[in-house]
Parts: sequence; structure tokens; C-alpha cells
Amino acid sequence: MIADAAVVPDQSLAQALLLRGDERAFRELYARHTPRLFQFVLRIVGGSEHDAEDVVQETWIRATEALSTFRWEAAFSTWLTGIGLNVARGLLRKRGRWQDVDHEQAPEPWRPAPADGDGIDLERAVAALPTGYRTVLVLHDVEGFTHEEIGERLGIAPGTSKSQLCHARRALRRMLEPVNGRTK
Amino acid sequence: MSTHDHENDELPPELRGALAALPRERDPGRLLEERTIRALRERGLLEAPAARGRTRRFPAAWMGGAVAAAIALFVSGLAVGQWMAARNTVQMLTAIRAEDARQAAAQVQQTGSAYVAALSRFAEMADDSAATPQTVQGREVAMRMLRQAADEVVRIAPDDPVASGILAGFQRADSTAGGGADRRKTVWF
Repeated sequence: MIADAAVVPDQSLAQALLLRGDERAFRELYARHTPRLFQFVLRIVGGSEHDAEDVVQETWIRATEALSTFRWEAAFSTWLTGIGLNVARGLLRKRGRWQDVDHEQAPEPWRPAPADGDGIDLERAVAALPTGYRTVLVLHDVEGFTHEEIGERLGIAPGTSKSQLCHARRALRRMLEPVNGRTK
Repeated sequence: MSTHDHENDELPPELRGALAALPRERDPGRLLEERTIRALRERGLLEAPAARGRTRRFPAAWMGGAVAAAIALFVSGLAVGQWMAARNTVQMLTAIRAEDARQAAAQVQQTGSAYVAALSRFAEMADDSAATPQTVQGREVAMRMLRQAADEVVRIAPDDPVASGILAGFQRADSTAGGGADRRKTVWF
């Protein structure tokens, strides 16, 4: 990122985009926030780059359309991540891969094969988790959201988020245990 | 997103650390950016590329250089134009002067020829035996013109012996015959 652009706040760029449809401002916002957004949705959708790209594009479209409603009480990146999560959930639901997070009978996760013989790649293990488990695990253990914040975003109670996180961690450990004794 | 909750005790520290250490960013590539830009343009959320072309901005240094180059070009053009104009004026004045000299010489020739012709006709008509006041006056006028012509020739060529001799002759005649009185008798036609 160039030095001059780094000093321009997100809000100024967003205003230029909103008022004038300024492409340069959009490109700058895109460059700042897309790498993190892409990595986040890539984990949520289970590792499909094609799906993640679709989600990122749709996220930016929705964010640009709704820019005038954003009150800047939270960070732009947080707002964008929330939109990305909703878009990703919509995509998974459309594909029949999304189950409500409070579903108690989540299927036994598929166990990925070791990546190189020494251990299972953690990314692949996370991607192999059931969608609901994976979403809570990513939001909590990777992105650092609290159960209250997860509850708000997914429309569930914080207790449900905690419960799902326990299931997710247990499933993750089971996937890693046979080849990684350290997780016992 | 703030602190983690207390469920972390279910996660071994190594695994917790590994999850926290997972990469947070990943570049999706340039194609996605262009695809997204296109989608936004199609929805009218970004300004059209043609309009962007009209609002293209140039660096300040480039603009300064362009302005300096334009001024230098203008000043050099002005100087060359003035030099050319001055050169043409000098040539024109020189030509005019040359033309004037030629015209003046021609006029001298024409007038001189007329003077000589008039004198010749006057000489045919004049007769010493019949010296009328008109013939005397005509002779005085002829001599006066000759003297003034000699004066002008001496101004043009001070060392010219003929003109100097004519003037010297007139001066001698004045001193012996009292030319001042004669000059006063001259009546111009």
C-alpha cells in the first residue's frame, strides 16, 4: 500500500465512493480489506476458492450499496466481515450445505488425509468440520469474536455458540489425534 | 471481538496457538478485483471509465515542466519573431534609402537636363546687341542656379575641382564687381 493512500481514512475513501463513485477510492478500500475478507470467507465456505471469490465480490457489491447506512460506529473491516459472513451463509444455504448452528445432531466430520505424512494440515481439518461447527470455531478461535458477538451475527444465543464451539473443538481434536499425539 | 471465553481449556495450548497463528490474509488475485469493479460499474455504483479519462490528473512536477516548456517556447518564438521583424525593417529601410537615392539622382538628371535645355533655348533667343531687362534677368537667374548647383555639388564632393573652380570664379566676380548688389537685382520668376 502506498504511503499517501495509507493516511487517507476508510471513511474519506468511502465518502468519495459514495458521493462520486470514485473508482480509485474503491480500489484503495478493496486493497486494504479484501485479503483479510477473502481469507475469512475462504474458511467459512470450507476452502473453496471459487466460492470464496463469489462471496467476496457479492460482499463488496452489498457493502457499496449499503454504504450510506453505515454509521461508522464500528470499524469498516468489522462491518465488511459481517456482510461477508451473511453472504457466505447465503451461498452455503443455497447449496444445501448450511445447517442451523444450533442443530444438535451434527454429522460426524469427514477426516482429511494427512497432507505430508507427518500430520494433518490444520486448515484442511478446519475445512472438514461441519459448516456450523466450523463457522463458530473460525469466528471464535481464529477471528477472536466473543460468544455474544457470534450470537448476534448468527442469530443464536451465546450459550448455543459455546456449545457449538465445544463440539467443534472436540471434532477437531478427533481429526488431529491419530497423527498428532500432542493434542491428547 | 474481544477476549476469548473460558472454553479454551478444552483446546490444547499447541492447537490453540496453531489456530491463532493461522494466516489472516490471503491475496485473491487481480482478476477478482477487476471482476468486482466491472460488477459495480454495471450496477452504476462506480463511475464509467470514459468519465474517469476526462478527469485524469497529472503529477504537479509534470505540469510544472509542461508550463515551463510552454513559456520557453513562447519566449523563444517571440524573440525570433522580433529579430526577423527587425532584420526585415533594416532591409526595407536600406532598400527605401537606395530607392530614394536612385530617384534623387534621376530627378537631378531630369532637372539638370531641363535646366540645360532651358539655357540653350534662352541662349538662342538672347542677343547681346538687344539686351533687354528680361535677357539680363534671365542671365542672372541662370548664373544664380549654376552657383547654387555648384554649392550643392561641393557639399556632395568637397574635393571636386570643377565645382570648387566654379565657386571660386563666382567669388572672384563678386569681389571685383560687387556681387551683393547684383544678387539684390535678381527677381525670381
